[in-house]
Amino acid sequence: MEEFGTFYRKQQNKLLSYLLRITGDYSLSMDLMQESFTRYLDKYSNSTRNVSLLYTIARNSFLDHKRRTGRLVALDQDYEDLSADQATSFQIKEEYSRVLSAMNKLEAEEREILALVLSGDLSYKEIASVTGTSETNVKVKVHRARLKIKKTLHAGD
Amino acid sequence: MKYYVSMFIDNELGLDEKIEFLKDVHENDEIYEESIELLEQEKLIGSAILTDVPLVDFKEKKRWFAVFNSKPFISPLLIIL
Repeated sequence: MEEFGTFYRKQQNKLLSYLLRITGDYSLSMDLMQESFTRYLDKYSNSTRNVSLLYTIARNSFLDHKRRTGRLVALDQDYEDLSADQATSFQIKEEYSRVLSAMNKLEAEEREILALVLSGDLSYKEIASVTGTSETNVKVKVHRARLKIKKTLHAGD
Repeated sequence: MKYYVSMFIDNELGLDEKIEFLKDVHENDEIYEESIELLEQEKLIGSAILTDVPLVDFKEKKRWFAVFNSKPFISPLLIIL
């Protein structure tokens, strides 16, 4: 079985990117990532490493956080309005702030499914399992999300 | 409506669907243009979000956690110990 440290190092940037795409908040994403790995290790340390399970835990951590705070964290934030200092501290690539802003305009489900697709490690079937929806729905949502982002990015040119 | 472009990007097409998609692209300029645009877009939206700097930048109130950030795999490992 893969060592947890190896699994962690292999997945941490992808998971953090996923969380950043759905929350838009770097510090929160870091917290949720740590929490997700901790929960994963706590409950499944002796199981075969399972990326799908890790993302399910991360998603649930995010949903728990939303329930606790009663709001959509930083999703209302306009990324293009971030100050230079914030952008630096968030360590987000400059060109990506436009993408995050475009993603912010998507419906929550579309944004989440696209973020999972962009993580690169999950099939439509696995994403359907993580989000509790159908594979067909994943197919539809991810395509619509891409078309909407195209429209938004073109409108901003 | 078909979603072959996205399925192509995400490596979700079966062989028959790949054939159908290629035929569509060949026969329909609109599908060709959209496919190219979405593939170009994917290079941007699928690229890495973060720079290569270490993922260590917790705020003051979380400073006690910094040691876990500098060695991010330590935090979960401590649970084992």
